[in-house]
Amino acid sequence: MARNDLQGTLDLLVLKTLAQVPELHGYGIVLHIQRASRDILQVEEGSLYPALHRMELSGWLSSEWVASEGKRRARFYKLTAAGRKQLDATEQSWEQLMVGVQAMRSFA
Amino acid sequence: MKVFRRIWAFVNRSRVLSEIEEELRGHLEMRASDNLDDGMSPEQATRDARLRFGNPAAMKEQVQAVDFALGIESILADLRYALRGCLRNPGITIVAVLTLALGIGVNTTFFAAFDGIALKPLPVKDPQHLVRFEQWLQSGATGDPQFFVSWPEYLFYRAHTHALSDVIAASRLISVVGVPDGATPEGSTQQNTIPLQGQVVSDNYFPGLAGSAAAGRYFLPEENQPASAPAMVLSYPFWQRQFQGDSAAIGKTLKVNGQAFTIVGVAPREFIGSGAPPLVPDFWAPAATQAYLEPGHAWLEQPKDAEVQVLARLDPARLNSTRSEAQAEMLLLAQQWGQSQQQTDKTIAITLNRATFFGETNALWFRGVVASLMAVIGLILLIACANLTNMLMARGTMRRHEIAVRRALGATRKRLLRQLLTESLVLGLLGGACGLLVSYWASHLLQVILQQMVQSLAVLGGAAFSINLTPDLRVFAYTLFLSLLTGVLFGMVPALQFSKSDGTSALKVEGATAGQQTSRSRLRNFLVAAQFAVSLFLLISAGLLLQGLRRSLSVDPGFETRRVFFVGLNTGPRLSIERQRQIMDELRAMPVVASVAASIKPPGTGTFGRQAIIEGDHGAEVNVQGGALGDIVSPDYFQTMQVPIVRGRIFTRDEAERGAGVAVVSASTARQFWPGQDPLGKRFKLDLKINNTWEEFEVVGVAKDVRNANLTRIDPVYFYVPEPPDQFAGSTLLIRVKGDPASSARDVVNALNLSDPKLQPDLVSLEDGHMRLQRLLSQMLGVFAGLLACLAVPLAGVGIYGVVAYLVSQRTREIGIRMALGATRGGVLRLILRQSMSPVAIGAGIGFVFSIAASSALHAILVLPGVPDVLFGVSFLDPEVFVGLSLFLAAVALTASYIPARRAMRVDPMAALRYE
Repeated sequence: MARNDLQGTLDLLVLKTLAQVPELHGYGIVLHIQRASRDILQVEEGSLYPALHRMELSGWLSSEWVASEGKRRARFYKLTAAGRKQLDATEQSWEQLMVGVQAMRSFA
Repeated sequence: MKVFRRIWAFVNRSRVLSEIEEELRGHLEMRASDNLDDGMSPEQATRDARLRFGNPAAMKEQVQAVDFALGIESILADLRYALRGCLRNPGITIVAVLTLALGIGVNTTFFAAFDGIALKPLPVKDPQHLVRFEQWLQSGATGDPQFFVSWPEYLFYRAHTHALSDVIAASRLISVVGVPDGATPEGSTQQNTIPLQGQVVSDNYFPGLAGSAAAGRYFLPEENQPASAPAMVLSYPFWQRQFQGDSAAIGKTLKVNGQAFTIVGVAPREFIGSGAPPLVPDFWAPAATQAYLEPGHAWLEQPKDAEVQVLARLDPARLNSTRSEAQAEMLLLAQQWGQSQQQTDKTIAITLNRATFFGETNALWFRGVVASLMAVIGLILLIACANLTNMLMARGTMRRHEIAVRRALGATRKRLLRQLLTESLVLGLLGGACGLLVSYWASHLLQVILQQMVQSLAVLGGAAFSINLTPDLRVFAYTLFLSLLTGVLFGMVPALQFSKSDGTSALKVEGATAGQQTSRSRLRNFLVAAQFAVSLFLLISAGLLLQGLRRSLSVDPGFETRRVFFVGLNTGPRLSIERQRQIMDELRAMPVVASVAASIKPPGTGTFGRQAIIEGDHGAEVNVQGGALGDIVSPDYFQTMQVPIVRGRIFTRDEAERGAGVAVVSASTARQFWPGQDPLGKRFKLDLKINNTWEEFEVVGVAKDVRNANLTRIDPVYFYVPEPPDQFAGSTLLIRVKGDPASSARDVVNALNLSDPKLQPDLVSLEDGHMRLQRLLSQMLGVFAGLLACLAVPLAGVGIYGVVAYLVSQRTREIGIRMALGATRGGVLRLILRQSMSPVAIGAGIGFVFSIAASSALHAILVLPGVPDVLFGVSFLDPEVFVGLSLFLAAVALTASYIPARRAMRVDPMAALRYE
């Protein structure tokens, strides 16, 4: 059964982003999702952070403060091994969901 | 671990919060600056960033909510689940909690006692900063001498320290004769004297230590001056006892050794003095009045008399007042003082200890005793843990199904592990809570017993002994620690085992196959063996101690104890040599007195331990290991104590007065050092004055072996040395009476009172004095041992019963098959018993060997002559105890496994098979 649903979508997007670009800060993740989805997916920027925090506490992500351009420092996120596993699981269940929804739509 | 990360995040809240804030702010700034690059105006850029982001404050709160949901909520869920589990199996829960309550209760009680003795600060003002001086002496003397300095030395430290404030001095308790104001209550003609314990203190004693007075006031500055009228402050218990707490007592006078003192106030109820040991005097008096309390022995000007204990306060308001800095300063001051003075024993360093109820709690022997007792008591908790592990293993197997289902539904192993551990922690905490109740009750009992015991001891002068065993924060923390520790200890193995089980096989009903079970049954066997070994060890120790107790009640010290009374002459006023001789002669003339002698200490008060060198064959010199025991006695000592001389003669008064180097030794000494030879005429040397001046003695007589130093054993080495010619031998008079001991003693007291009213004699027979104290100590050990045994046996029995019962329940089907195939009931019984008894046998072997090793180690220290033998001469490898108790415990184990084994015997083959 496909677990979760749409709530898991944000997790999938974030995990996938970090699988594609190894280290990013929150703002970078927003930009990447926007760019990679060809501007179709617009993440509500604020809601990203609770998700990041939750994923970090679950051990899927690790983070580190790095001095970015100028005097600012930013928290950069990285996938952990557990995060990679979680990504696989989430992708699978997402695919099942898609298949299921497709089947529903084409049911005559 | 996830849990730790969460706990970390939870504990470091403020830091986590500020980081989140920074992250959110950073995000907004980055977006705004990108917007600027895209050509927006600054206001527009910020506005757009805010719009896209949403409400930052709300986001922040959401982030926190994540923390809470993940970390705390799931823990609460586990707790709820664990509590539900406990309620579902009330039988197991009750047994587990009771077992733990006993184990933890005993340990907590012991810790509460340790806390009261060594850790709790005195009930005085601002106890955190109060320190007690402990000095290290050139002679290496330890114990009591380390806590006393002379009055001039105290004044020197007080005048020169910069790091310490409130440098306070208090004397030992001084026995005096008190006569209250006015007529006696019944108006009888006899003068109403009461024995009192007083303590002289420095002027800053009460302002520095006590809260406001319960009645009246403390000493005025002028009352601390030598020329003023003597004043006293009463202790609260004495005020209650003597004046029924009537405030009219203030202003009355009380005569102390004939000198009138005015009662100016009463110390607060909770004030018990300055401790070490915590004996509460009846009254306190200014140091200036010292000479009245101890006539003939004024020590205020004497740098050689170490008479006062010093306390001081580390002053947080002052610079450089940490303990180590103050200690460094005291080291310097002690050296300066040592250089300026001709002391008998110089102070070489000073340690500043926290002011607790007792002083000697830093000493090595104290730590050793505490550590070994703690280890023994810890073993009981360990047995309890082993029982619970077994029980949980059994229950866990019943829960395999439930666990497998949870596994199949997607719970990770970690999640299950956490769940299982939470359950055992909940059990541990419940057990700890009940254990706290047990210990609260037990320490109250202990306190009452201790206080009554001390007060019943005539040797301590009946001073009130104050110790506080009510649990404080430290005790609670210790109990919490123990509960969590036991929870993890007994829960870890089952949790690891059962969270490991893979789902599929366990989901099948009765999936347990023999192969899967081996590692688990090996573990159980190990636990049974360990438990039996520990129980046997505790039981044998208890058995040996109880044998000792039995002997202690009947042991004969070898000299007269019921008709010999002693008078300590170093309490109360000091007498001149001539006066003491005169008193002895007066006593001898009394018809009820059979004989009078003098010695340094009454027999039974321990050792007088001096270095000794024995002259062996051909001038060879042998050092007596651990020092020699002995006493300086007058020639009539042997007749008074009724110790027969088995060879040679007693030294004469003439020889003693001449200072002829002659002595009597005990028969055991002769046997040990001159085996097979005539001891008469042999020589030995003693360091009598502990200053490396050796005095030579020739043996003129051999006395029968007695138990002088210790009631527990024949003195291995004992010398009776005559009093030196220039001074009176001892400070103790030994008086043997004729007729009825009690009435004769009263006659002696009356005669002494007539002869010298200041003497305040308090006649106690040797039996009621130190002999009782010594017997009491071994009785205490015996009671302790009995308690150990009472806990060890049922715990072992319950543990073995649990395991075998579980074993039988697991193998019902197998037994059914066996019986269907023709096995007899006897065969089944033998099978079960053989299986359950084999770990017991291994455990018995280990426990037996361990007990022998421990007992032999204890025996080894008896080489030192002064060490008491707690077993009163019972063999350390007493076969009766070792074999008897091993068989007894084996019988308990057999019974414990027989009950469930019988159930196995009655298995109905058809019913067992039908289940399949």
